[in-house]
Amino acid sequence: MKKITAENIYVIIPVMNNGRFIQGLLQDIEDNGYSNVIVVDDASEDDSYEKAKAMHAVVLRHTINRGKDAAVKTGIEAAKILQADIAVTMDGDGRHNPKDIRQMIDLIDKGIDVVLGSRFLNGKEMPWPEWLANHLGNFLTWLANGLWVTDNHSNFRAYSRKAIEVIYTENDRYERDSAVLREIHRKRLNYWEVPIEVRQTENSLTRPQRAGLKNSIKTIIRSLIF
Amino acid sequence: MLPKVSFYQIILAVVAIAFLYSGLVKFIRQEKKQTLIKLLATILIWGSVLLFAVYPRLPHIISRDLGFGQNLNTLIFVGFVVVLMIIFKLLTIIERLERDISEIVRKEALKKLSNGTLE
Repeated sequence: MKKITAENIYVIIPVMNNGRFIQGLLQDIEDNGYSNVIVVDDASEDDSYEKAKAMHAVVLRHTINRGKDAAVKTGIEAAKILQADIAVTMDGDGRHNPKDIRQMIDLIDKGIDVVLGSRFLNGKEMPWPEWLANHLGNFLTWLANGLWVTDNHSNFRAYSRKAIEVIYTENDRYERDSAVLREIHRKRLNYWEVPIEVRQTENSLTRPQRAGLKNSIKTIIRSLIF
Repeated sequence: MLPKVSFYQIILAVVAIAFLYSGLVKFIRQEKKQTLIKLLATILIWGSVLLFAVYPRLPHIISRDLGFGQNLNTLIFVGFVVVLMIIFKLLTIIERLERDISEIVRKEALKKLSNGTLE
């Protein structure tokens, strides 16, 4: 079996108007020992593209905004071209801590196909509306995709070479997370959840927090209609 | 004795015939936008309108056989089903277009990487 080294691990970051944060995040990732980063700029209106480019990352640009999931998929396709053995996806707003990548890679190294980061395994208590929305989202995800997970809407995930090759999704806008779970179930991939730290950054606080429930409902409606 | 024909029946029948004729002509001319599915949808929708215009008692017979109370209820129900079908069809088309756009944008973004010319 080919030994996995930092050279064939690619970190994929979708960005859109994250110019103020991207260089700090890329530096943080590099400081943690990962020099291969694929940044997919989803038609930002700010200087995200130029700032990422200045940090020696592989920077790809969507000429039209296609949504976070479409950007992640572009990153995965790039990782395939670059013959990555492991692809790690994380958010571009700095909420995910690159320190958590290590535990994910260790699990892939042990033969796990997909490692899912979970915000809800770190033992911290959460407000009840968020708890309810998350559990309802998890239940609907299980109903639609046949897979029970504690965090159905986390983009902090690691994929083995096999998973990179076989997972196929068509979703563009914040539904890929659930679609990946369906693919794990359908393709009989093995998976593991690990606790991840979520940092409260200025940028992350402005993003919707209960998208998991909304996306689970949308996934169910889609599977009924199409 | 000739049956009494109301003004709205004539108008509906004329409009329905016009749409049916137009749909058929487009299909015979093999116009690109006129697919068999579209033609069938046209025949289903405007054919039903024509049928109800020519035989106004038909909704009553259908509603009686299906167990609906009023003629109007039947028409509203049928209309509701047809509108829903059209919405689903439109959603499917939009979804496919969205996917196609994403694919084009993705190919464009990956072009330089695939060619090995990315700076």
